[in-house]
Amino acid sequence: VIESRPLGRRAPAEPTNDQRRALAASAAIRRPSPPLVLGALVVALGVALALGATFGSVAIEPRSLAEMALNRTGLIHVAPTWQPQDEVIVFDVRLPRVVAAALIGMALGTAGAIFQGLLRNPLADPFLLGTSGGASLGAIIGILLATPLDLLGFGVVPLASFVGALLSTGLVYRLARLGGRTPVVPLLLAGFAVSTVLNYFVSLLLILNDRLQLDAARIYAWLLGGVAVSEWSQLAVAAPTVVVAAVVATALAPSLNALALGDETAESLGVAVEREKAVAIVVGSLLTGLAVTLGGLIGFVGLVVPHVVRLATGPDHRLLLPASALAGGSFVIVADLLARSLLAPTELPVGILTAFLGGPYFLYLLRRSRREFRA
Amino acid sequence: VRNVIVGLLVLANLLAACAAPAAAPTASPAAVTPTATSAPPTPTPVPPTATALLPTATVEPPTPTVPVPSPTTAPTVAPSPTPAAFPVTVVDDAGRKLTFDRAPERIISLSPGHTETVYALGLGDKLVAADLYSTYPAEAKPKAKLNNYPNPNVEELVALKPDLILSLIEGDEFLKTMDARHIPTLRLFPSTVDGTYRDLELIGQVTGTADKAAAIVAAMQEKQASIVAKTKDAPRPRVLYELDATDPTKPWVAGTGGFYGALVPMAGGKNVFDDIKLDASQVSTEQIIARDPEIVILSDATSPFNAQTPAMVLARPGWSKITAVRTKKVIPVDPDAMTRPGPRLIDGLEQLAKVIHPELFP
Repeated sequence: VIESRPLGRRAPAEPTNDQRRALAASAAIRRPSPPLVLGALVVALGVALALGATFGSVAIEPRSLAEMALNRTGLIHVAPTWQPQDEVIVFDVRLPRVVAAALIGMALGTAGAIFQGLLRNPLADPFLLGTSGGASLGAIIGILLATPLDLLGFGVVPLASFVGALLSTGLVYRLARLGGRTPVVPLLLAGFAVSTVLNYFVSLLLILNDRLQLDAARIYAWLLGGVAVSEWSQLAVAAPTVVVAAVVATALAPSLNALALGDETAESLGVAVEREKAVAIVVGSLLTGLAVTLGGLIGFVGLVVPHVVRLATGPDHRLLLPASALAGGSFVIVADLLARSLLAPTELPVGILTAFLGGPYFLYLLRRSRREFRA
Repeated sequence: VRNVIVGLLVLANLLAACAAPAAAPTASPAAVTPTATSAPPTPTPVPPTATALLPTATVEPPTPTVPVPSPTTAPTVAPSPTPAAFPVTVVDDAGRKLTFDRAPERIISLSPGHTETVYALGLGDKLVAADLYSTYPAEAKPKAKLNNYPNPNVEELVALKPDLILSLIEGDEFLKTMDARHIPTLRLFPSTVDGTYRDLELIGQVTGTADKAAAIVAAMQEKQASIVAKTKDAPRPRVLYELDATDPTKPWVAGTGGFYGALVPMAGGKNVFDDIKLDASQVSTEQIIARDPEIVILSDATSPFNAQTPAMVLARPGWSKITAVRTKKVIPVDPDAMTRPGPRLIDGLEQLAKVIHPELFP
């Protein structure tokens, strides 16, 4: 049950009529209890992980999988009935990828929920604040650098796109900031403009550099997203970072709840608006940058997942943020499973799958919930 | 979202472009070093020739009688186009019928393969411009100046006053534009070895060099037959033909659609991804491990970006159990010859055969 007491640190301002109506509407809708939602999503993530590890473009008997896993525990030894390369496929190729997909989904789901709350905009997604353009340009520059740099298993292209994503978000934040305040609308517009300009800069580079042209299709396939993790060492860095950032994000939930009522109201509730905004943007961009590093620009996850989750949880960020992380993780695992097995041996960019799966479902919910709210 | 839209558009635009002639445009070392002093590069401002089609302001008095090639060539012998062959009517790979009343004097090539064909037919002095990737033969390099990405520059082409444009992948819109300008444009986009022979002969017909084209094709066919005969009964090792590893966890590999896909079995190998009917496809590492290639051919070793070395492939996570990696049979090739529909295609086949069956080609 959604708590209807005001969220924040100080005595609430008198709610406006709009807010009263919104509260009444949210109270009128029956929602499952938070532990139930989170429990169900944890189970779903577990099922998705198991599915992702069990199925793939190469069929391996579930029984062999179970036996391999038992052997790995060191407690029991089953004589192998499988090909030696099957073990490589499962433990060195498939599992890191499934875990990476989960991390990407968690990062994008959380970042999407943060940005939608922060920007009070239903169209907000993790890439809104300049990230997509910055990441694309970073990736192209990484490709142009063409150095065999390798940092903890990450090559120069994902690293450069990570840096590009963070720099462009920093730029957007600086541009939108005026007189010590960062209002939402300039932030949105600066994000859109910076991203667009950077994206066209990428196009310009493609036209000017005759070598890049030949690689363009592959570069765009990379940018469209694909879980590109091959080593456990990469996950050893990414996993703790994503988890810590997601926990920090959950700590931001009360502030995000207050910010949803508008900057002034939030301030009157005792929230240090500018500081909380800055922290939220840093956490959101870090999560987005990590997702880009692990899998390129996977669209739709950060937009759709928080919306869908919100239908079940309501707008309270204390529940919305962890629920979006869990749901995002399951969603990307399933999308990646389809991306690698649907047309096997051909791989599809996972961004195509997230759009094809997420888009129609989102539209269906949109139509349904509109009717519901109208009634 | 915007990025995805833009990306998709460009992707769609370029997939076709990259599919068949995807190879890196890097010239082979041999081509980089200037070859013998045989042919000095033609001066860039080609004096306009007097052709009936193209009334141009004459810079220097044109020879009024014979419409012979540009005076920049050796003045002694004019390569004699067999006059009996004209007018000649051909159908290009876009299904368009074009009639030529005389041999073209100002040719533009929009792809490296066509440029090679033009030179092989002895028409190098008639080539006024070529696309940026036309790096072979060395004489073509000064003319390789047309940037056709994302579309050819129509003004630039028209200003060059061509009377034949050889196009590989340009779209219907481009062909329409050129038709409206009455600039004969042939789209020749062969996807098979036989298609390459056909288009080579077609270029010979419309340029009055049909005999030479037929001779080149005959020599290529003979060489092809001898290679195929040698490899026919040999054991067929499993071959992975890698095109790109921008994302090394899912490289782009050859299917059966492109030239490399067709050449691998002719060279006596079994393409492990011969169930992919496309030119190229991105595949999972899982699949590569399961299909266990005995030879990995790197056509991306000379790529301008993300060039792969055998050492990089040997170190890829999860690849250690693959036979080719265990036996260190990861071999770089120069992809130009085997990806360009042109006179060197069978040289590419020979190169592949030597990689796959070194014992048969000492």
